[in-house]
Amino acid sequence: MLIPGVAYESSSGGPFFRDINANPSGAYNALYWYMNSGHVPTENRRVGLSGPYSLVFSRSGTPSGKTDLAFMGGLGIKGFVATSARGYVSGKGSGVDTAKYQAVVHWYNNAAQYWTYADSSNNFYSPAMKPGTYTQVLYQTELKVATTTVTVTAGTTVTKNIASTWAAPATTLFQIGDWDGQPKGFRNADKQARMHPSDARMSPWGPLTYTVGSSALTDFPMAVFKGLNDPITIKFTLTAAQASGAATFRIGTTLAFAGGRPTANINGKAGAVPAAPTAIDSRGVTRGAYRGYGFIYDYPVAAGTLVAGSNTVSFQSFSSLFNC
Amino acid sequence: MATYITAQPSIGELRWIGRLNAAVLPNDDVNQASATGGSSSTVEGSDVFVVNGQTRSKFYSSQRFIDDQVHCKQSSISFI
Repeated sequence: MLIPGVAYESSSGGPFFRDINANPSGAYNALYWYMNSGHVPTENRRVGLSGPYSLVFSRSGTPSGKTDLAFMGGLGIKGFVATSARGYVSGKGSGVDTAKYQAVVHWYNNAAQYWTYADSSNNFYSPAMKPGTYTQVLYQTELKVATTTVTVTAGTTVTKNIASTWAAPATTLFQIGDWDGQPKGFRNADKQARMHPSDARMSPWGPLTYTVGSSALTDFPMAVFKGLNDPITIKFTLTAAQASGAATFRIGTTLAFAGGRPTANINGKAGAVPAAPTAIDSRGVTRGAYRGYGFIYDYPVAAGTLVAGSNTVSFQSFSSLFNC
Repeated sequence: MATYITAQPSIGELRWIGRLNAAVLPNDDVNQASATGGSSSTVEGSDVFVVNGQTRSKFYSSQRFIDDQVHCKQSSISFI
């Protein structure tokens, strides 16, 4: 099944959305293309033309995903917008370190969605887009770092640069993982897309203790399940200078289920329970998904809370689960 | 092919399915993570199964759309 070019323009969910592709179920081997679904949906579904797409049988290897099906534009297919009636956006992203992250640019409105990788110099050129005004998003791998708008007109290329608004703190006392919008590197993140959290091939979920400076990233779980592997405990050592003054404990999550969100306890002081995240009416982490709306939680740490020497932060899931 | 809709299907999703001969094309392209045939039990709901001690589901065949231009079935059968 080939889904090349702009075939996803009437689907929904953006560049990182995932859906069912295959299912050898015994009686037959099902080959799928989900044009839309309710599987961890993050935006409304669209109508219009999905495709062109193609079923290809080959005895000489995997067919190219860049197969050009534009000839179908000459067949009078309802809803088909020819390339000549489309426009383009080009530009330069900035603020994303492409040596470390992928820079992805995404355009969407109620009628269509598109995306492209920026090159190693952060330059990007869109696919052929239907005319209209779009929200243009820049991602640091999968973390949304900038949003703007751009209007596309037929037969032209409009220039629209975009700069990351993501700012690292002036001083970081410790960081576990990376601000890439993915659970990549955390325990079981390498397996979660392809099996259930209860699978015997998974590493034990914990509860785990992560010690800054000596633990491996895989000592921190990619998901926190209420009553199963919480609390997560983090131990870290500070100098007197580092411990003086106020700080912020920040947790980034990519997906939550049934109101799951972290509650923090810093050196024995419980933080406030944050407001419930926007709900997604779908199971996620148990079905290979890790990406929902994504929320970042900041817990203020008052001056005097941190101490010189050993400190402990623990956090639990207030309800259900969330992914880090 | 192309699919044109003016309203969402009442079933709540829009999909194309090819039901291929499993004797000829038995494999998915994710090391059989989505191969649920011959399951002995379910783990969750009606869509996560156990096969040979491994959890399997059609959901475990997913890829990111940005990297998802080819959905592939394979066979090691030699055709002469």
